[in-house]
Amino acid sequence: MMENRKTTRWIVLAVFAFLVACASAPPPRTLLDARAAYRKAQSGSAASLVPAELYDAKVALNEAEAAYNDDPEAEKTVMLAYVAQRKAEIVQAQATIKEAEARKKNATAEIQELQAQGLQLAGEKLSQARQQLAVTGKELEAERKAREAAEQRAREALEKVAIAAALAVKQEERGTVIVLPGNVLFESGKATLLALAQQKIALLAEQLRSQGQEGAKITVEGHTDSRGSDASNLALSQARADSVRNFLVSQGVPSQNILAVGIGEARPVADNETPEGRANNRRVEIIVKPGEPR
Amino acid sequence: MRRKINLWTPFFTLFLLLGCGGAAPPDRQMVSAEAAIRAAQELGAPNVPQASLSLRQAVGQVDKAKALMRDGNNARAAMMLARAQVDAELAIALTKENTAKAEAQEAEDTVVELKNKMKSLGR
Repeated sequence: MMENRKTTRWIVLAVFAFLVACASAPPPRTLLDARAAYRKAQSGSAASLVPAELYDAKVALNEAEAAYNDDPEAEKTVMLAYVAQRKAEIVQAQATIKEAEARKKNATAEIQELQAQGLQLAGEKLSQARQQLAVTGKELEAERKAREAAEQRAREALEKVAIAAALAVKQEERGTVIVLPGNVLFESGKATLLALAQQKIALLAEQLRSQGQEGAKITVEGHTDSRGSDASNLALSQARADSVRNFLVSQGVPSQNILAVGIGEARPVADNETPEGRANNRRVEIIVKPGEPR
Repeated sequence: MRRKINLWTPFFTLFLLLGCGGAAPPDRQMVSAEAAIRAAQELGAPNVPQASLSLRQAVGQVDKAKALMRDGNNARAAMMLARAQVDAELAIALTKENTAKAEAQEAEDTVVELKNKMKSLGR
């Protein structure tokens, strides 16, 4: 009787040891990977972003666990664990896709807002530029009108003075031209101003001085008739132009604005064959050109 | 005695057929796995490193399944196709993930670029 009890006890112990040994067989690597993949997916954003897909992955893992409990080493167990692992990885990827889509949506909204702000800013800049342009245009127009008016006044003043001095005056493209007859200015063949000439030029000087100070360019041109050689006529015309220039400078006209040029017989205004024509050709011209706007 | 044996013979044969013939060919799983592989290829999985790896695994498993089916081992072929299916689906998901991340990054880069431009314009 005692012997039977002992035997039974040993059999029970052996069976228990066998069961413990079987139960502690380690799960296949694939199942461990599947569990890890699911835990990773579960702890991330998948639970909130793709809950249905996460649930499917959980179902797949449960199937693998059930197969493992039925037969830990069966090929089906490994296959189901493999499928569960991949499904968990798919869930993670799907969650990342959702996150990326949300990032893109936010960025796109921000882009639209920035583009709208950019358009508004560009519009404001354009409007400011147009306003500035309009102001500048008005200023330029006013300046141009003022300059024209000043030039007109200067021309009229010069004309009045020239007329008062009994001198011919004309408007040409090169400016206001005042003609001083040679017989009034100089003795024949000489370049010294006569007293009457000085009086007439002195009348002009004040007006020329103010215009010179405003930047007007004054050119004094000496002209002769065709008698005598070209060289002597050129020298005489230059000497006469210099003489007039020097007198104007002595009267206060800015020297840097006056140029004296001898033209000789090159530009006659009348026939050199007649005494009257030659008298008209012997002359000094003072050309006044208004200064350029600054 | 001899007559009795003849009576059991058809049952025994049927038992053998049911036991060895096994599962039907997994044709539908094959179609599904191959469709998933094509979808992954069309999405551009071969150009995404991680997706490309999964795609290659899926293709390899389909090839193995075909060999198993030729040998009549349909049950193992079905398991191989189940693996191929999830590998192809993973390749698709990884390809879409790659595209979505790139698009998000591009949009965010544009935001930074626009902000810099706005700064340079004086706002």
